Amino acid sequence: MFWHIKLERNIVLEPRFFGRNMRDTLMQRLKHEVEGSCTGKHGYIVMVTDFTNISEGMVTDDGTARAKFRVEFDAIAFRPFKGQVLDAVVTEVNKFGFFAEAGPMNLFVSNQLISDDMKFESIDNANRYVSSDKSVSVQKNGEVRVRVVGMRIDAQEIFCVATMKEDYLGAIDQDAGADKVADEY
Amino acid sequence: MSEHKKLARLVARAFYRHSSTRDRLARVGNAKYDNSRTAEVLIDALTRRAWVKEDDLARAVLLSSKQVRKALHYLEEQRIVRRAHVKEKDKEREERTRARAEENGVEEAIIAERIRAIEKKIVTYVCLDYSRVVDAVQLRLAAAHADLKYRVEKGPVSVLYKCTSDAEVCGKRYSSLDAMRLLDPTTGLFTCQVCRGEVVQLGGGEDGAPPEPRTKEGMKAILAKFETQTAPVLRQLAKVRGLTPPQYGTLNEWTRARRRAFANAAGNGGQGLGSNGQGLGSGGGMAINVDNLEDTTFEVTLGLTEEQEAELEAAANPKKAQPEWLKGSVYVDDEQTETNEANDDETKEETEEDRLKKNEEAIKEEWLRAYLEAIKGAGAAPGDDDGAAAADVVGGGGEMAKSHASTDALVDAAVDMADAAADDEEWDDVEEDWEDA
Repeated sequence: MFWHIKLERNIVLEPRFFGRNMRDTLMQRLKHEVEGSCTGKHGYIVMVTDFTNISEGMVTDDGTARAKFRVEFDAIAFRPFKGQVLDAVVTEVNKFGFFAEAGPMNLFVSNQLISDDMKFESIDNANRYVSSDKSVSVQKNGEVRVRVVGMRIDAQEIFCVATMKEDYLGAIDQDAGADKVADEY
Repeated sequence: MSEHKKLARLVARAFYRHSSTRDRLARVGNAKYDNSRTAEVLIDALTRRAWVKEDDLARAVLLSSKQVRKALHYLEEQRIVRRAHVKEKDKEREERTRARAEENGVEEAIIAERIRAIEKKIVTYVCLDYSRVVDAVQLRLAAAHADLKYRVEKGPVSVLYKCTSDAEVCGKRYSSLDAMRLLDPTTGLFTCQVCRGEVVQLGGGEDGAPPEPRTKEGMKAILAKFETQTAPVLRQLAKVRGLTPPQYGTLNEWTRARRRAFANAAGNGGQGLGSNGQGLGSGGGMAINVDNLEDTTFEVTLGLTEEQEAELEAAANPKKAQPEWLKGSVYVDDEQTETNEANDDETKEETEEDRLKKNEEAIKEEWLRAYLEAIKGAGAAPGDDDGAAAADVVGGGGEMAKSHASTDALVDAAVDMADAAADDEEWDDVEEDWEDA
C-alpha cells in the first residue's frame, strides 16, 4: 500500500557546500539518502515529493566544521501488509517456487502455495509452472497477482511470502487481453 | 447410569486427565506432587453423588482435602463442577470443647456460652453440573476443531527447507521467509547459507517418515488424529442430545428440597403400599423429585405425567355440585323423571362392570408388586451401592403407590429398575469398589 507521509531527517553538509545553492544541495543529498531506502516502520520510501521545512544549520561539535540541518519533508512510501493483493513480475522460477518483484520488494511464492493443478516444468533451462490444460503458465518476466501471507522485515529490506492459491489470483493473462484488443480494432 | 454421567466420565478421561496442576507443579519443580488423574477420580465419585461436602468427598476418595480442593477449583474454572461456599457450625470443634469442659467439670451454662462463641466455619459443597459439562465439551471440541481446520486450510504459509549435509556438519533448517537468501542467482537453486550444500524441501511424510509438524501434511495428520481420538466423545454427545440432564439445582434449592423430603418421609413413612389414594395433595411431587436427586446410582423416572397431574388436580379440587336450578327446570314432568330413573339403572350396571374390572386390576397390581419385590431382592444382592439404590427405589415405589395407584406406573417402575440394574452391572468397576470401601 502506498502512503503519503511526513518525515524528518538530519542532513550533515560539508563546509564547501555552504553558500548560494545550499538548499539544492540539501535536497539532492536528502533524495540520495532517502529514496529507495527501507525501514520496518514506513516501508520503502519511493519518492520525496516536497520539503516543508529546513531548520537553521548547526555546526557540529566534532571539530569538522560540518553543519547539521533538520529537514522535514513529504514522501511517498510503499509498505506491504499481510493479506494485501499485489501485482508482481516474476524474476526467477525454480522447483521450490518462484520469486517475483513488486516495485522495490521481492516476494516468494512456494510451490505449496501455487494452485495444485500447476506443475513445474523445465525445458532448455527455461523453468515454468504450467496448468494441466496448458492455458496458463508462470515463467520469467510474466506477471502474476498474489496475496501476501507472510512478511519478514529486516533493517534494509522487506521480504514477503505470497500465495497464488486463492480465487482471483494467478498469472495475469496478457495474451488474452491483447487478443481482445486486437479483435476490437 | 445416565448418558450424561457417562459423558462426564468420558470427558474427565479425555480432557482433564493431566491438566489440573501438572504444568504449574513442573514449573515450580514439584513435579512429584503431580495430581494427574485426580480429576478422573473426583468426577467418577461425583457422578455417584449430588451436592457433597468437599471434605466428605476427599475422605471418600482417600485424597488429601487440599489436593481435592485444588482440583475442584480447577474443574470449576473449566465449568465442569459447581461449588458453593456456606457458613456452617463447626460441629467437631463444639464436641471437642464440650468434651474438654466436661472433663474439667465446667458448668453447663458456661459450656453453652463457650460453644456459642465458636465461630462458624466456611464449608464448600460441590456438585457436577451436567448441562454445563455438555456445553463446555461442545465448545471445547468445536473450538479445537475449527482451529485445526483453519490451520489446515489457510496456513501454514511457510515451507520448511533443510540442508542435505549431515546433521553433524550442518543440517540447518530454513523457512520460506529465508528463500531470498538461499537463492543462488547463478543456478537459480537453493543453497545452504552455511555450508553451500544442497537444500531440499521438507514435505509430508514421503518415504515413510512422519510428516513434519509445521507443514500442511503435518497439520492434516494432526486433524485426522484429533478426529479419531474425539470420536467417542462426539458419539456420547450425540446420545446425550435431547435428553434432560440430571439437575440438582443450587445448593439452597437442593437442601430445601431435601428437608421437605425428610419431612414428608416422617409424615407418611408409616403408611405402606396399601394406603392408596391417601395424602394425595401433600406435596408428593416434591418428595418424588428429591428421590430423584438422591438417586445417584441410576435413573428412575418417578415424575408425574401430565395426565396424572391433571388427575391429582381434579382430586384436589373436586367439581362443585351444581345447584338444581342450574341443571334445568325444577318443575319436571313425569316422562323425564322416568327416563332419569332408566339412566340410573344403566349406571348401576356399569358400576358392576367396573367392580369386575377393578378386581382384575387389583390382581394384576398384586402380581406386579410381587414382581417388583423379587427384582428388589435381586438388585440388593450385588453390592452395597445397589442395595442403597434399591432402597431408594423402594421409597420411590412406595411414594408412587401412595400418590397414584396405577398399574401402568408400576410396570414402568419395574421395567426401569430392571434396565437400570443391568446398566449398573456394566459399569460396576474395581475403582468403585475400593472407593466405596
